[in-house]
Amino acid sequence: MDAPQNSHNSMRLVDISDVSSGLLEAVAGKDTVLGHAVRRHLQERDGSPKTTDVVFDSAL
Amino acid sequence: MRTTEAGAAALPIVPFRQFLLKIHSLCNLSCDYCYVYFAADQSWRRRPGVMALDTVRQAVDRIAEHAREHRLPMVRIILHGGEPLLVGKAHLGELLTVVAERLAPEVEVRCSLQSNGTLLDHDFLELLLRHRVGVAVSLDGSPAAHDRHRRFANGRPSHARVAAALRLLNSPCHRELFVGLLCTVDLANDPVETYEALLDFGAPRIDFLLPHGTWEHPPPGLEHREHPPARSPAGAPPDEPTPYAGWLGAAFDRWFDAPRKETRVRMFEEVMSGVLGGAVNTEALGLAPVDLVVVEADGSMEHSDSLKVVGEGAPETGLDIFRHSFSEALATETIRRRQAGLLGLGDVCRGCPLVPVCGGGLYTHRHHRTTGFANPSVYCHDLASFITHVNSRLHTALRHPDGNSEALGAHEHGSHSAREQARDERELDA
Repeated sequence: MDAPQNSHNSMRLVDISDVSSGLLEAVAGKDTVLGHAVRRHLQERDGSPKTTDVVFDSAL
Repeated sequence: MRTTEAGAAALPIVPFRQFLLKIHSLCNLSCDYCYVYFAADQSWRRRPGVMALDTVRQAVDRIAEHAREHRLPMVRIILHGGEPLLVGKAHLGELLTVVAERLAPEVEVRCSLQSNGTLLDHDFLELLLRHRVGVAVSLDGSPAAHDRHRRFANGRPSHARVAAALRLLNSPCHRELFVGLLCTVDLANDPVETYEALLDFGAPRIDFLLPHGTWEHPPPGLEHREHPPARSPAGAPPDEPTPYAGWLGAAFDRWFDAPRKETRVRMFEEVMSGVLGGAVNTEALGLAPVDLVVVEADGSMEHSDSLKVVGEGAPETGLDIFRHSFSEALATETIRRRQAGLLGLGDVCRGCPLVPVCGGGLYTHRHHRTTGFANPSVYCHDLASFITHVNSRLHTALRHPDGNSEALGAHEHGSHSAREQARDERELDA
């Protein structure tokens, strides 16, 4: 794995506020896994209603 | 949705919005890892096989009552089992008519069914189409991977029948019903081959489930984990093996590096959302309050049935739909704790920087006989390692959004890829 195991003692989660809005919008426009993730993040950040409920573990 | 304050604990009460109906208690498969039949709780033995229509009516009326009381705009009904299609077409048709006539006028209803797929035929699909019931199917990957565990009671494999059903489900006239595939992780299977085998069926969504286990009965591959950690994973010994992180990381890399998004993978999407600071909407991860209740075939209200692995009676609330409202179930200690977010966790989890993403892991997986549920998940180190991996991939990808997948991928640091690591761990186990 690219991340060293057990490296989370100094771990910070991604701070998306460090990324420029132009770059985020460009990424969000792509039909990739990353694009969808960023698009969802921007929608939720902008107060759009949640698209999913908490999903039960043994059903979809 | 109405949110109120819960008495002395002053914690928010979140109404149930998902109602899982166990419409059949038995199953035509005998999967060796099944938590319903092969776990500590054996309550299925004393329940009726089929949920009677009177019980369905009562359950539906209770759901309508709950929706009115909490002003819910929408509820989800999940038809589950055992194998729900064992009820037969006539009973399923009557059951869905009860829902349509008694509940749909009160509140928007979204209905889905979780099946093993072996009984799913054209007539069932036509019935489900008429009632707009989404279908999710359990499939563990390739024929060899699937049939290692998912067999009929006589030992016959089931993959071929499930595959035939999935082709039918994915045909143009039924495709709109296809919700997705649920896959239980087996470390013996190659993660990339497993993902690609699922992808072959064109599923709009996939989810990977970790095998159920507790600190007392750890899952396969983690038998050495007997005691919950006293510190967050930051203090883990450097040689702590994390085989599930390796497996999930390899599948994640394959999914993440595709030039176009091929399908949705619930666990991965939720971890990514959490790493980016957003919501984590799955029972197994995150701090969102649980909003699901189970109604067994006899009308008993229960907590998530994965708790069957904890002990006999562990999922029970002591309540039933004939004598109690769903709001009474909201007041149970288990639901209060599972709606308390960070406050519902033990000290180790509360002090961990990853807790917004993992949420302590699935409630069931935290259990230890002496400390109850106030522990990190038995998968704690694996979850931490996997989240760290996703975090690293996102961090790199956002720094180099136009880079090719090789530049952004697992090889960037010249280390073993996640898939190679997962393979090494399988060989070591062998």
